This record gives sequence, structure tokens and C-alpha cells, in this order.
Amino acid sequence: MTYLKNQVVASAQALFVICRYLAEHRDGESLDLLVKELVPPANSEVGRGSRTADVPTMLTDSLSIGVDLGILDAQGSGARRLWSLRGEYVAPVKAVPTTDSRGFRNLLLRLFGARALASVAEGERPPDVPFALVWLMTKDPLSTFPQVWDEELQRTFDQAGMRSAVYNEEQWRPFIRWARALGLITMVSAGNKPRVLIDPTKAVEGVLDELPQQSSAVEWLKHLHTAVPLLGDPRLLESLPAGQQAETTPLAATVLAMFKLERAGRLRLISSDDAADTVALRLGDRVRRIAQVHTVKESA
Amino acid sequence: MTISMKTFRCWTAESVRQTVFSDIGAMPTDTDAVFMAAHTPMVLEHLRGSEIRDGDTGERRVLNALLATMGDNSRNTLIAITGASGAGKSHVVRWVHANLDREDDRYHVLYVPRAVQTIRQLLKRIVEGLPGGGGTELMERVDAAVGKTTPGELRDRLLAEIRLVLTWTLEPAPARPGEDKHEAQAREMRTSLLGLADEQGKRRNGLADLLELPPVNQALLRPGGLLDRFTGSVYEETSSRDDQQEGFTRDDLPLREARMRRALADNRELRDLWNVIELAPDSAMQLLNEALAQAAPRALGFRGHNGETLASLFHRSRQILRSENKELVLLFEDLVQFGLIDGELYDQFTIQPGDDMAPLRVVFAVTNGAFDRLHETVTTRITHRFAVTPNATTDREQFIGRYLNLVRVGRPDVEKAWAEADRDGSWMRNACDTLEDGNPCRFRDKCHAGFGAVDIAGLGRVGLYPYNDVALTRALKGQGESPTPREVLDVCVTQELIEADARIEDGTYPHEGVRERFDFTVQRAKEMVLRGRSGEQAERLYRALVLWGDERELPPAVAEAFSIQPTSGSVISAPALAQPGRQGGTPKAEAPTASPAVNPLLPLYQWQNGEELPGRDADQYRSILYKLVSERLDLDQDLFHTAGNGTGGTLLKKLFRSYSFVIEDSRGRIPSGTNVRFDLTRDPEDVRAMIAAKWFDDHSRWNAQDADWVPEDYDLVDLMLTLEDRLDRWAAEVRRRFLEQVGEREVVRAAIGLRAVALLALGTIPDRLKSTNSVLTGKPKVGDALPGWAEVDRTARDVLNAVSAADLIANFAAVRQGDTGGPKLIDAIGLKFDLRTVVKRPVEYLRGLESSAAEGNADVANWAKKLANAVEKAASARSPELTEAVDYISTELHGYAPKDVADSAREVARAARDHGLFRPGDGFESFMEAATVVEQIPSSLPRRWPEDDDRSPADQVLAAQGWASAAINGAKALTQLKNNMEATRAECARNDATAEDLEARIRAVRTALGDIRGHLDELRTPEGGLD
Repeated sequence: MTYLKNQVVASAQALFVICRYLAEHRDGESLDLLVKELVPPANSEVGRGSRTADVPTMLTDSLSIGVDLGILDAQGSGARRLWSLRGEYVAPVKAVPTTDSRGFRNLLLRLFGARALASVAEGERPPDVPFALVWLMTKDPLSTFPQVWDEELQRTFDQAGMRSAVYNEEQWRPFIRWARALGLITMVSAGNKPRVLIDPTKAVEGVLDELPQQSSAVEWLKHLHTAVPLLGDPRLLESLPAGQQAETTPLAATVLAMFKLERAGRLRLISSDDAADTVALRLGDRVRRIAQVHTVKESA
Repeated sequence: MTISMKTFRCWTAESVRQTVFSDIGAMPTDTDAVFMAAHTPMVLEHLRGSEIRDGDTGERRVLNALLATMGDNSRNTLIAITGASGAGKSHVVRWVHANLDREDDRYHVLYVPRAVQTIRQLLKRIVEGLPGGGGTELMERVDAAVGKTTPGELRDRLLAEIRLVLTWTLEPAPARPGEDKHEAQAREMRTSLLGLADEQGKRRNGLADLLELPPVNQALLRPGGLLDRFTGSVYEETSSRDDQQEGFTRDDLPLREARMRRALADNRELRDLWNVIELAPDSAMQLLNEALAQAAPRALGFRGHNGETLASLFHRSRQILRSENKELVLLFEDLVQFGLIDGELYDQFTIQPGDDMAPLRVVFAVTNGAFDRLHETVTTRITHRFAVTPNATTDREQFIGRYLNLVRVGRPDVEKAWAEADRDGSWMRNACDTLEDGNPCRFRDKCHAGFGAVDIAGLGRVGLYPYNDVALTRALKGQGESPTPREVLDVCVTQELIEADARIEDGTYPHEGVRERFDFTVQRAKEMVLRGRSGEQAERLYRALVLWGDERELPPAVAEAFSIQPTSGSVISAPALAQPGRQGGTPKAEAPTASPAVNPLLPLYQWQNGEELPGRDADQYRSILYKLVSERLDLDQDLFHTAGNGTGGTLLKKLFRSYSFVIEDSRGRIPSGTNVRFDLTRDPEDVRAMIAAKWFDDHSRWNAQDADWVPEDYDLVDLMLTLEDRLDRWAAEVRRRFLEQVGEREVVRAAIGLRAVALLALGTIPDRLKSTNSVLTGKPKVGDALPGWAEVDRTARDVLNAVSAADLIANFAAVRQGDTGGPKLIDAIGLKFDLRTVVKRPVEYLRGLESSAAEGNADVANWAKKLANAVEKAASARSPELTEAVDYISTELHGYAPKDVADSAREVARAARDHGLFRPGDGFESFMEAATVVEQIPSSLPRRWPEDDDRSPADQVLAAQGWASAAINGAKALTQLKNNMEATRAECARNDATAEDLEARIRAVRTALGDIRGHLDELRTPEGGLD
């Protein structure tokens, strides 16, 4: 799949709205009905000014990606084609609070990871979005990327052999939109320069409850990679172009997230002088060997 | 065994008081020893006079200039030492005096130190200092004039003398050859002010006569005025007079005082003169000064008409000296001392030496300002002028070092050594080498190693204790850019050593006062210097580390002497600083940082130490933090769009602004109670976050490679984590408050509900308001409102205009492409709510909105209240009207459909008209219109109203608005039909045949309607209306 070429205007927010609606309409809905219910009526103030031609595109692009990720089903064809939310996702989607879509976006993050792993298992390259995300997570989080495609960025992607995933501004823009929605980057401005900071803290935080409360660092990281393969599953790292594999694991981006979560009081990283069964967390020149990771329940 | 320097002092507060005199005027005249012991050569600038080629740059040049003309009996020598107050002018004169050979028989020295404070003392000093005896009579006269007179009497006498001088002594000045226009005007003005002499030579209608007027008299004699100060200087000792204002000022005249008009009412000439003075008072003050110069000696008694005068004493002395082939050396530490009697002195400068008159060799000190005001009698005769610059002491360390040695040796020993000394050689001992009965101080080596020492010519190495090089530099810098020696001595020697004596003893040095006096500019953050130490002792340690350690390292000797406990090791040190522009990825700084000029954190560090953060810096930090927090709110991920000036953006701006960041002790707007507020204090954690923000804003990354500057010894990763943690927390708080404001999506739902109710009020039937989209697309009915409903109608239309549910959906519940793109998808589930309840109990719903609307929903709450009020007010009248209409229609239609009845009525009416039986005869058209209205009575009209449920009348009325107008108008129309039919039937009765025919036709119609009635009954809804 080439999401960044063929489903350019799809977004996590659009999938959120669609999936919430379909969670309440279990039998599935036709595209016409989805349009009627979800697209602002053109004769209303909300719909005024919107180019109606775009509307179905966002809807259809997002539906396509939803199907490709396996969260949506599409039955039938033509006008009788019905779109529905797959059964196992109904409860999780319904559980997502109206004004806090983090749970849904975390779900998408895992689906992207699973989709990427499935591709690799079949000997294919993962879809462009998760593929580029895996690569992005191997980059140094102490550096930043420009928000706007420029020569420097083009050179970086060229040298990494990643232009096939992200080729130009039209693809870079939706790519960072996905990365942001999935909790892997933060938008920052330094001076007047809009930059992208690699920071998967939200992604890690989103799965903390599923990770062991107390375990060895090695085990904990294994669980993390299972929950969020994009953060360093070895199979995905190996799928990257030659020379683009991470120099160290865990990835510096993951280490940043762990350090930040430690500061926020969500993780306790237990150091050890014993070299056996420890993990070296490297960020910049800071190296810290930890033996255990404890997850701290979020205080109410 | 190592002995400890703890609490050691090699001076006492008492020795400081006895030996350090920053003001030469406060220095007793018998303290040459102390003076010379601490003397540091100065650098003088030779501003005027022939070149003196002696290779010297200091005081000796003055002495050489003075001695150079010895033997030249043809001219006097005047040497002026000028400079700012406290620069050391008097010091130079005193040095010349101390270094003149008293045994030299070529001259006689008259030395007037600044310690001479009163005019009586001054005169006595002159009289006694001049050779040849005499002066007894003069002093008796002065004593008689001053000793038996109160200050008030003397003031008055002085004023009387001024009047006499103005009246009798001063003469109009003749025109000077080559005088310019201004000079001519000034001269003429002076003549006018003097007044005109009468036949007896007494000047009238001049300034003298004005002085007799009470307002002028009182102004001149007022406390604090020139005459008051003059008499004060006669009786009391006054301190340094360098800066004393000389001469009259405008305050000494009652300018623009109304009482002057009254006082001058009867004297036109004087009134005119006063008018001129008010316009240009400077001329009058100048003339008064001129008169005062002559009046003062008279008032003080030393310029009598007969007998000895100061001039005659000088004259006789010079004659005697000349006969002895000697010259008269006059050394004045402050020429201003002579103040009001300087005329007597200046006269001497004009008298040239000769065969019977000894030459004068004069050295005097005077401030720059006073020099500029000197009479030309003096200035034109100046032989040399030397200027003392504020930095005249060439080596500040040596300057301080001499005083440190002086206070250690103490005054008794200094004087003893001076008395026994060979003045040409080194006579002052070095306390460090001799402190203990002539043996070196036991701490000398340790002290010199730890605190440092300075090499001083004639003394050797003098320890800087309690200073070290860093502390001394900071102490001097703390006194400003160019402190005068006096300022340096006052603070860095006297105050510091006196306080240090007690503070070192009780282990509290350096105390807070030291920090305030010294330059406390820092280059590093406090936490990095203190490295985790806290508490009161940490504050003292911090002061020591900054002021003695330059934020790096505190030498062990310093820690020991000041009783500062190191926490580990023998050296208290802070991490080294970073090097800017360093290559490589190591974020931690290791070497000295960029120069202070390029370190943008310095204002922050100063702020951390208690100074105010400059406004520009504060604004910048606020702006950076605001931007960084705004970017990570991520509200758009949950369909809240806050970019731009839309509803979301406006709401966010009301909540969160750059001034939400309140930086302690910095200017800027303070957020209101409804704003989010984040306080930034001087706490190390806050400072770290601000450093991080600044660094990131400048570099947009977290590694130091090719950085413009490095945040010193901070670990960049640590800074990043600190800032990230803060930004995340702040963003979470802003987000929480924002959602609280919008009540999650309640704002949007409330707006939709309010719109639905407004549409109801405007006649939309409830069944058309079942979904969000139907509410959004719903349009209000067109047409005028019925009387009694107009206010509701207007309010409902206002609601539709003012509250845009669409805008709220677009801002708070829609997927948009980018921040500014239009809404593409609506979160239908998020907006889902029970519209059926809203339309069934609309007023109850409005009241609920009014009381529970979120903070961000104030508009909606307001409009809900207005609409509910309007409905409730109108409902009381509307309800019985509707009940009556429904009952009437229900009764009169007999269950038939309105359209059928209308059709039948039309048919009958047409037949009657065709037969000329329709009544009233001209009412046919109106009847047909009424039939149309009846026809429009909705089939859904209930048969009975209000319905029997628990809804309020207002709810019932509002829910009925879909048919209310039709019902009320329909009832009226039906009444008309009935009335017209009755009248027509009556007419038919009078015309039998036609009437029978019509009756038959009406019956036929009624029979035909039987089926329809059954059909209508089937469609009847549970509420009683017709579907």
C-alpha cells in the first residue's frame, strides 16, 4: 500500500469519526449513508465553503486505509457496498472518550505495526507510512527535522534510500500528520523555524498499562516492541534499507520516551551495577544501564 | 602541626577607624604618618603650564613645578589641582606638604588643610601661619563680630552690609573695549539694578531698595539659603565642601510671589525693576554675589575701615619674607574653603613680587566645577594646572594593599615609625613580615597562597586578606565604573574591614552586605555553582564561591578562614564551564564558556540572584514558552480547532496567553483569575527550564555541535528532559482547562439544542428537528408573528443570528484538513444527544442550559435565558388563546378535515353568490380568504389542548408553535365562515326555492364526508393530533 500516494487526505481523526459512527451501527453503512451522517450538509453553515468534491475523498481514503489496517470491513460492491467496524474493535472504540482520542490513536499505532509486520512476514515491504515511521524512530531525537520539505530533508531521505516511502512535500505533510497523530513526534518551533521533534513518549505511554508492572528491562522492552512494533521490532528494523538499521537498541527515541516517562513519574528505571541482564539506555552521550523497569499507575 | 586560619584577622575595627580617612578633610592635621603610610602614587594630567620634564607622572611633578620657580622673584606661581569630588585632589596637596623640606630656608609654608572647617579657624590658621606676628587685632575684631553675635544677627548684619555695598560701594562698570552685544547688555542691566545715585551719592530705586521689602528680605534670610549657610560655616564645622553650592540662586528671591505686587504697589520704579528681574533673575543674582563678596569680610569684622586686615597681614608678611630672602608657600587643600572671603586671598595673587614683596608659591585644590567659576583674577594667573582623574590611583591592588598593611600595623606603630624614619627611605614596615613581634605572621605563607598578595614598592609582598584577587576585583567593580579613591576607601576598606572583623569572628562572613557591595555578576546558574547544597550556609558558601571563587573554586585557605565547611575534599569547587562552538556530540559543557557579551543567559543568572529580569528578556522567555506549549496542546487531534481567530482560537486566547507565564520580579501583565497561570520562580528547576527553552529556541536541537553558545556546564539531555517534562505538564493543564471551558463537546450540543428551540419558537414543527443535520439545515418560518408572540419571535431570530452552532461544530467537532481547512467530517456520535426531549420540553431545556452551561458557553447560556424568559412571559397569554382556538376548531369542524370544510364552504358560497343570496353582500372575497385560512389548519392539529401531561404551560406553548398560528388564525377564519353562512342561510329562508336547494346541497356534502371522517380517525396520533 502506498498511503501517502493514494490516500493522501486520510487521517487518524477521520478514521476516529468513522469508526465511532460504525461502532454504533453494527450492521454497516453504505457510503451514501456515511456521507449523509458524517459529511456536513452543503446547505448548512458548517458545509458552506467546503468543496464537496473533497469530502468523499477524505471519507473514502480513510475507509480504504481502515480496511487495509484491518479495523474496517467492506462487504458488497458498488452502491450496495457496506462498511463496518470489525467486531473485535467495537468495544475498544466505544470505550474511547469523546474528547480524548488517544486510545483510538494508540489502537491505530498498533494496527500500523501489525500491518508492517504482516508485510515483512510475506516478504514485502511494509506500507509507506509504517515503513517511514520505523525509519524515523531510528533517528537521533536530539536532532530535529523541518516541518516543511526542503533540500536538506530530500537529501536525508535520498541518502537513507527512503525516497520510495516519502518523496516530496505532498507526501511529507501527510506523513508527519500520521506520525503526530500516532504520538511519535512533537511539533516544535525554534526561533521562527517549525521543526519536528522525534518523541514517541505518547506512544509508549499509551501502552504502559499493557506492559508488565515490574520486569527486567530486557523483558519490558520485548513487551514494548510487541505492543508497538514501530518502536524497534527487529524484523521491522531489518526491513529498512541497508545502513539504516539503528546503531543501538533500544532506539534513542525509545530511550527518550523512557526518560521522559521516568520524569513524569510513570516509570521507574532501576539501575544496576551488575552488567548481566542489563540494558544500556543511550541518549546523546548519556549512557545508563538499567536492570529493571517498573510501571507506575497514573495517579487520578 | 598545621594551624588553622579559622576566624583569623590581622586588623581590628578600631585600627581601621584610627587609620583610614577617605576624606582628607576628616583627617587630623597631625596624621602625616598615617597619610604617608597609605599613600599610593597618583597619575596626574598636566593640563596647563610649561612642560615639566622630570619623568614623573604623579604628585612629585606638582612638587617639582612648585620648587622649579623658587628663586624667581619676578613672578608668583599658582598651581591648581583639579578633579572630581573624591578624586584625590586634596591628597595631592597634602602629599606636597608632607614632602616639602621643612628645613629648607628658602621658603615659609602656610598650609591650610581641609580639616580646617570654620571661617574663624581658617582665619586663625592664616594669621598664625603668616610670619611677622600681628593679627591679634584682626582676630579680636573677628571674635567680636562673631563670638558675641547670634547666627540670626550675623545673617541680618550680612544682609545689611550687602545693602550698604549696593547703595554706596559698587559702581556702574564702564564699557569695556571690544565688548560684545551680550556683554554690553549685561553691563547695562547691572547699572539698572544698581539704581540711580541721588545728589548725595546714594543709589535709589535699585536692588538695595528691593532688599528692604519684607518678601525679599525673608527670602534671602530663609533657612537653607545662602546667607544661612554662610553663617553656618562661620559657627559650625561642616564636612566636605567640595560640592557646596556657591552664590545666590533663584530660590533666594521671591520670584512670582503675589505679595511682591502688593509690596511694590506704591513704587512704580521699583515695580518696573522687579518686572525686569522676574524676567531675567540671573543678573540680579550675579550682582548680589558681587555685593556679598565685599559685604562678608565687613560683616565678619576682618575688613575694617581702619586697622589690620587680612590684606595688610599678607602684605606685611610678604615684606618680611622678602627681607629675609624667603618666599611664601601657600598650600590650600580646598580653595572653596575660603568661599566668601576669597576676595581677600585673590587680591594677594594679583600683587606681584618685587624688591620689597616676596613671591607667592601657591598650590591649591579645587573641584572642576569650582575651577570653572573662579574669578578671572585667579584663572588668568594660573601657572600650572594638574588634573586628577577618577582612576588616578594607578594600581588598585597596590592602593588597597597599602591600606590593608596600614590597618594591620595600626596607628601607634605607624606614627612611631614615621617619627623615627629617615623620610627618604622606606620607613613603613610590612605587617605580613613583622606581625608577631617583628616575626612574620604565622599564616603568611598559607594566607598569601590562598588569598594572594601584592608587591608594593617599599613594602614587599602584602597579603590581600580578607580579599583575594577575585574578591578585590569584584569589590572595586561593585563601586561603579570609575569609583573615586574616596569611594573605594569608604566601602572597600573602611566598611568592609570593619564588618569583616566581626563577621569572620562569628563565622558569618561573607554576609549579605558583602554581596550587595560587591559586583555579583555571575556567569553560571546558581545550582551549578552550589551543586545541590541548600540552606543558610549554602547561601554563604554561594556568596564566597562567587565573590572569592569566581564561581569556580574556593581555595582551602578561604574556606578555612571564613569557617566554611566543604562537603567533600579540601576544595570547594563547581563544575567547569563549557566551550562554545565545540565539535562533537557531547552535550555536557566542560570549558569556559563564551564571553559574557555573547552569553544570553547572563540576565537570567542575575535574575536568579535577586535582580529584576529585564523586560525584553522576560518577554522573550514568555514568548518562547507560550509557543512551545501551544504547539503541543494537540487539541486538533480531538477535533478542537484553535488556530486563528475562530471560536476555538478565541476561547483558547481567553484562557492561555504568553502572560500566563508569570516570571517572578519581572514586568509584564498578570493573568486574571480565569487565565491559566504558570509561575516561574528563581527555583533551580524553573531556571533550568528557562535555560533549556532559550537554548532550544536558538538552536532547534539538543546537541551542541556547532552551537552559537552552550548553556555552560549543563547537560543538554538533562535540559531537554526538564523542558519537555514542563512543556508536557503545562500543555496538559491548558488542555484540561480548555476542555473544562467547552464542557467537552457540551458547548456544541448546547448550541444545537438552543438552535432547535429557536426554530421551534419560530414555528418549525418538532418532527422536523430530529437530527443534528436537520437542526443545522432548518430554516425559520417566514412571516409576521402574532401579537403577543413578537418578543419571542424577535429573540429567537436573534439567537439564530448570534449563536452559530455551525461555527461551533466546525471548531469543536469536525475533522478539518489542516488548521485552517474547512470541516470535512462531523463527529456525529460525539454530537449525538436526545433532541426529542429538547423539542418536547424546550423551556425546561433552556433553563437547564442557563444553569449548567460550561464557562466557554456563556453566550449560549445568556441567549437560553433570554429566550426562556420571553417564552414564559408570552405563554401565559398564549396558552388560553390556543386552548380556545383548538376547542373551537375541534367543535366547529365536527371532525371533518379543514380542507373539506373549506371546499364545501366555498361551493356553498359560490352558489349563494350566484343566486344573489350571499351575505353580507360585499363579504364574498373576505369569505373566500377565510376559507383558505381554514383550509391551512394543519391536519395534525390536536383535538384537545393542552395535553394532559406534566409539562409546563410554556413548554406546551412552545412545542405547539408549529401549528399555533394556524390554529389561532384558523379559529378566527372559521368563525367568519360560520357567521357568513348563518347570514346566508337567513337570506335563503326569505327566498324559499333557492334556500331549499342550498340546504339540500349542504346535506349532500355532509353525507359525502362520512368516509373521510373515518379515514381521519384512523390516522389520529396518540397525542390527539392528526398525522
